[in-house]
Amino acid sequence: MSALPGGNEMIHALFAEIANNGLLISGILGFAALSFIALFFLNRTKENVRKKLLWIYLHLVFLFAPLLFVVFYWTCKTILLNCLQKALLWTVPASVPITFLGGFFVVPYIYRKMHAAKVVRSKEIAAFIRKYSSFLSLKKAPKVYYLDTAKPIAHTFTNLIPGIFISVGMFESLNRKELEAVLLHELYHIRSRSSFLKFSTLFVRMFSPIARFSVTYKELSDEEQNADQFAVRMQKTKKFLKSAKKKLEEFK
Amino acid sequence: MKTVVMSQGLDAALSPLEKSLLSLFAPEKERRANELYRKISKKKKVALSSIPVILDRLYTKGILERRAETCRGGARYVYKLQLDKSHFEKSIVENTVNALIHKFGQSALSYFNERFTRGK
Repeated sequence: MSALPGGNEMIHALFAEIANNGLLISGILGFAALSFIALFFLNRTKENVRKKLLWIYLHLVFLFAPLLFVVFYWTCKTILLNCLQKALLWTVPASVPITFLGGFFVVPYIYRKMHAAKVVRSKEIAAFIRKYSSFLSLKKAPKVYYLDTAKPIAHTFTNLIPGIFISVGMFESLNRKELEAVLLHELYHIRSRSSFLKFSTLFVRMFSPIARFSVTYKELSDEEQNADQFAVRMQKTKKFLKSAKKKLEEFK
Repeated sequence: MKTVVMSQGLDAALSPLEKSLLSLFAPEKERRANELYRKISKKKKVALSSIPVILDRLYTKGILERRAETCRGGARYVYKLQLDKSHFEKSIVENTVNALIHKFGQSALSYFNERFTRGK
């Protein structure tokens, strides 16, 4: 059996093979165009979080589809590569879903464990959450967890099991109405899947060089304003949200 | 109410409000922020939101220990005096020395250097 060609010769041979295949080139360029189109529509979409998420993932699919195809083509069609070289080729496309699954499932779990998050067992808070979850047509009322830290923190995860995380420091600093303003703000984030949008924005900027320059965090600050407006609408006053934010600023 | 006897070193390490709050603790007795606020607001003008901040500072300094518990309003900390004697003494010494260095700078450092060079 003859020895396999060296690294550079192999790469040149493989690229030459692709360059001579017109259909393959057209496919790659076509998918690249579609990924740009998806990015264009993402930047044009306002307000609708679900549509933004759709465009984000379509952009990534169109961006990585040619890479997947080329890797599949090289590893299946050609005998130039040994097992290790084939395995290494697959690491790039494989890293994308692995990172996604890790960020989507593992990170929230680690976060809960790291902060020793425990469920808040307060009937008043549970009733409040149920009432507004039903108002927002959430399928299931999220659980509220407390984090063992004095630093005022409040955020949500909307992955498999939506949850609202509020630190003990925040519970102690705010009065009942201020706390309700914060809970309403977080419930809105669950309804609009803001935390998944935040994760997806980070994810697409990590893997797409094009998205790095065009996808900004403006969408996330818009979501923050929408959540504030929801809390104000429900409480019919800005007073409590404003005083809650003021107390949090004073803590810093 | 029993009061905690404070050393001169502790006086240097704590602010007046920290000392006032600490004076409300008795050994083995647990305290919550809202009850401390009720007691201290009779003697001093202080905001409710300041109490958790000061208690957290005392916890960070190792003078108090705490545990979190769920309650009607969500969750809260329950504080009590740090009773592990060696831990308590170590944190007092550390805070006192840091406060002296912060206040007197080079003079404090020179003194410590002379003192430990001379020996007991």
